[in-house]
Amino acid sequence: MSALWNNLRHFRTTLTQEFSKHRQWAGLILLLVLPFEGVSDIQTTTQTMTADISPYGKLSVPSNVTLRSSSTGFGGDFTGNLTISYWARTSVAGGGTITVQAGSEFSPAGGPSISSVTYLCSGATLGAACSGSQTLATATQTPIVTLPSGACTGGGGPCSTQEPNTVQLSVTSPDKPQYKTGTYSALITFTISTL
Amino acid sequence: MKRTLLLSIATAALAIVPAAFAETSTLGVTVAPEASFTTVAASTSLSKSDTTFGAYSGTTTFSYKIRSTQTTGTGSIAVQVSTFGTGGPAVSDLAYTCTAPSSGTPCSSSTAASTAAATSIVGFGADAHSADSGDSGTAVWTLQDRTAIKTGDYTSTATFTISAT
Repeated sequence: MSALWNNLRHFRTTLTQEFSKHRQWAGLILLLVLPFEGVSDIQTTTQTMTADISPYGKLSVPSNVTLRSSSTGFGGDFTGNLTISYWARTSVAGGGTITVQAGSEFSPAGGPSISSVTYLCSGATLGAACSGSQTLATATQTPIVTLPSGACTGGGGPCSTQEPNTVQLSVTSPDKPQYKTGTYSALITFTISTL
Repeated sequence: MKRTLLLSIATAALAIVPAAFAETSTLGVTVAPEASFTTVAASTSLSKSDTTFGAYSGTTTFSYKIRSTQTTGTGSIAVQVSTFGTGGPAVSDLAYTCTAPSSGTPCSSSTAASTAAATSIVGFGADAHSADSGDSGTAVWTLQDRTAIKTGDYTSTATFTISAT
């Protein structure tokens, strides 16, 4: 028993001496180990990514639309055609419209009046084209296309296959003897609204 | 918390604001001088009540639309006739007077018909306009009855022309 005790005491003494001898190295090792322990740490977090897809609308129209008579001698009306190209995205609960409004009467005076100009809509590739003859106005926007909810241009699937979408307008003004000869013009504004 | 609330309000506002886009186009029309007949009697019978070589008479009614150029325009309604045929009346014995509304000026006096050239019934000046539904005019014919004319039915074709510049 006494011998065992002596051996243990000798081991303790030796260990203390060895520890004192290598204390500086132990500190260095500790410093070297710490950074490696930091790199290997794993943390997990989540982030919510949100995209607000808003209703959108854009259209393109020819800069000039000329109405011409196909015959002489008051045998026909002044007529002209134009194609409206449009891009649209409406919300699930929304919808949209394409409308037209004249900015003013024809200028100069003496020619046709805006209220005598009518148009027909046809071939809308997205939404419903206006039904029947519509009369152009300076005071109000008159319909061309009604867009449904959840509508979108291009790509197929839930959207249209055509891009851009198009609709044709056939514009007519009567040819009346009372009009003075000359060239008349009026600015008309096409608007697409989406919700 | 406050920032989150503001972001939520902003997001909600974006979702309900409608999008609108507009583009303009110029609608143009050129109005030129024009003229046309809307109706011309298909035939006019010349007759008389005086059986002792009194003149035959008859009236041709026509309707027309016209628009002449401002400042420099003119227009006319004219007629040219063909002969009545062998043994019949002579075109030199055929004449007419005219009526027309204010859009034009009717011939001022009795005018001799001609096979060689169109003769005027109504004249129009610059910036002339008929009613939208058209105006009406007449040519009142007179044909002298000559003893040399053989009995029978005779016809002449009267060609009416309307023009505007």
